[in-house]
Amino acid sequence: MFWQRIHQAWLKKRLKTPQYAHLFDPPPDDDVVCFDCETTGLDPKKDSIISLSAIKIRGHEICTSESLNLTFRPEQTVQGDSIVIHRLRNMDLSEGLAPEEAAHWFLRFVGSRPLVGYYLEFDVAMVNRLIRPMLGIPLPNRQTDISELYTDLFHQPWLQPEHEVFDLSFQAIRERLELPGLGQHDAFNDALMTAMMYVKLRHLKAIKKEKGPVSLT
Amino acid sequence: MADQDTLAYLTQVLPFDRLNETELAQAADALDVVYFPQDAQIPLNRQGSAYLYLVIKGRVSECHQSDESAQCGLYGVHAAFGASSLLDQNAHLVYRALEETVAYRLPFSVFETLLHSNNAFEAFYFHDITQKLSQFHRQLQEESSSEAMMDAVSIAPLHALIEVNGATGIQACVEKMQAQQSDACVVHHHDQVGIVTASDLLRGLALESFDLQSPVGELATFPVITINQGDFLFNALLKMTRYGVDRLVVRDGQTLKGVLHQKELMSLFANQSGLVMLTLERAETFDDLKQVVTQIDQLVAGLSNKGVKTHYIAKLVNELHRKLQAKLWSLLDEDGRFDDVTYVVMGSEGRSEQVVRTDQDNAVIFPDHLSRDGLMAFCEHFNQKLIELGFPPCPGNIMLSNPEWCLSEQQWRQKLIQWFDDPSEDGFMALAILFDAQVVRGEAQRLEDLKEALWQQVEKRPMFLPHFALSVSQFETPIGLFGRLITQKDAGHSIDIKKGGIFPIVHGIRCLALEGRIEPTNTHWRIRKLMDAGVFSEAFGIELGETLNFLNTLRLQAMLHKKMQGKAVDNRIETDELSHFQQDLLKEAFGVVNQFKKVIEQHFKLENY
Repeated sequence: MFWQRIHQAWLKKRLKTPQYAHLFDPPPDDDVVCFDCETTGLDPKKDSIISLSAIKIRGHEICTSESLNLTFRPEQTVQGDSIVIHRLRNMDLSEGLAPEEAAHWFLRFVGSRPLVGYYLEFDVAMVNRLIRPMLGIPLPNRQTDISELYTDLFHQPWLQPEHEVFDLSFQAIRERLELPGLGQHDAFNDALMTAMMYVKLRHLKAIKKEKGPVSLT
Repeated sequence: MADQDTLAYLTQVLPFDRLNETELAQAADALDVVYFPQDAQIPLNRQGSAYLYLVIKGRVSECHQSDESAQCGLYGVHAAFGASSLLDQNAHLVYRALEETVAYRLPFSVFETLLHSNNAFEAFYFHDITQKLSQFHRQLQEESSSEAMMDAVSIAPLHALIEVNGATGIQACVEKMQAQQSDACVVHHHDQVGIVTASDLLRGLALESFDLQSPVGELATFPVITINQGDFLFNALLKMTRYGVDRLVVRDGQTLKGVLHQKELMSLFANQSGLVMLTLERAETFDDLKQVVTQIDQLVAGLSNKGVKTHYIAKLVNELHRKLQAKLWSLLDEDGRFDDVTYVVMGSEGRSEQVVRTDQDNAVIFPDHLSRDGLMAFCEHFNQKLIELGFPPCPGNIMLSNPEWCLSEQQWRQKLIQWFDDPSEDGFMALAILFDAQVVRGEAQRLEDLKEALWQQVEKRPMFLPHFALSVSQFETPIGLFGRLITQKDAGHSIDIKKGGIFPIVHGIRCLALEGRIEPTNTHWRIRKLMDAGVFSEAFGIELGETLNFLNTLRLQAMLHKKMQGKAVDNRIETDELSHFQQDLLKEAFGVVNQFKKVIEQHFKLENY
């Protein structure tokens, strides 16, 4: 906690635009924001965001009715292999927002609330690529990664078979948590499913605190 | 911006499937997703948590606040719950997640807007059971392609109506027919209304030495067979086959409108029902009849899928089954040795309520002068052939092949009195079965005489009917104090729908029909007559009829399903297989059954027995 606070103070000092000072205010409520991006590829240095969905989580409620759904104007042509995954063709994106404008909406939506995501590091890196030139700093928000939460709860090294990797794929986590699959693979559905994982993992964690280890079945 | 998945989900939830695109999007935009761990109570009230919930995954129970042990509702995937708490201030209900549940949550304000903007949506929540049920059928029917059979006679092309006096000469009559391009005309003759056709006139002129001036009245057939223009087309076909005529005169109330010809009628039936009739009409061998049976089965499955009311399917199928059995009789009795024997079907077949052939209940009444020699052998043969055609034998051996059910008129009367004099459970059952009998072939008067004797016995013995009616309450209605379905503890949570609902209604109505000397045997027709006689109100009669129809529909669907899977057909339905809407209707239907049991108990003062 101490180091976190020092880091925050340091970032705040380096913030270029005072307009975004609210990113360092105490969170306005107990909500957290879960978000997911669809991108042109997997390299944060080269690739860019195509669409982004962010959903607020309030306790055990997932506020889909207040969700943020942004489509970005492409900086480069989208490659065929990623089109297959998210089904957003170039022509679907021509009406998107300018990246700076989209980033602005995202920052307004998130404010100083903690962020939640699946392999959040990647999504945050993608967003940082956009906001670093604007703010001079990366996203300062607290971050919770689903795969870490999941590992904390379910990974028991002494039970893990040798030569087998603990499966942290999105699919594996969803199945283990017995959550319903939503049809199309897009930013909104992925964010929604991640949000469900978060709500359920938090619930399991609370039980674990009360009753001890979670049973494996 | 509503996403496609949410919209697709919503269209699978009753009654959201009735919303138009704009309304769907409005609902989808307002949805939140909520998670409830197992056993969590789900907040729902008009004040702080006014929401309608739609289950994405999981199961939720609905209980009364006063008694949480009695569950009155169960909601699974694609079910919406909470409406009763939102719409009825007096409903004190508690909702609990039986297993972990993920659900959509719709704010009450949006739900209310939808209720105001869409009538069909609103109707789902505010209509009483009768309206709900007929809407259920209408919906099924709308989903099906148009089935001419269920159209009214008024849509059929009619020939012009020509009316002449019986004294009119043949020549004048033919001129009139020629002018109107028709081949039949209605004849008014000595206060009677008949019909004369072109071929009647031809026969008169060519074979019976009438001349052109002879009055047509003597060649006409009386009375003319008519049908109301509001009646179903398939009833027209049934009437034609039953009376063996090619034409029906269509009327609007008492006013005659025109002539319906079989040719035109058949052209409207570009489907199986017409085909079955024709195959049956032309059948000449036992194998032909076998083919008809297969066609009937296909017809039943087809009509059931199309949402045609089970009552109508039953009527059609039973008419076909009777024609088939009559045909079988004449095929087997080639030289007409037993032409003067009356063959009747009884029980569910007699009431025209058997759709899937479950068992045969039949009997024979033969004239006193006929000797029984050879008849028994013929009856056994007939019975064997019937079994071969797919009419399973009666487990209680109530069949014409049993000497007990193959009697002369005199023997029948003795038997009847014996059943009354020496009451037993078997005797009661036999009387119930016999009272529902209908003639398939042979002299109909014999059965009428027998029923007259039965009525006289009933009227002579005031204690009989109350005892007879006792079995209406013999089986518990499978519904709990708080409206929960009581199911078996087997895998599918099944319910015996015959014991639970169908038998009490059928038998209760039978008792009232016995008392009121009501002649029709079909339960729906008996209900109609009882309503006319003021035994119960119009509204209750309709509700009872619709309830019976719904229970029969569930049973038929379960039977067809089992038949398709090659399982034994029985009266159980698995409640797990029912949609939430059907479960709701089933509960309401059992509520009506209980109400009816009370009516019977009060009517026959059963508390004294």
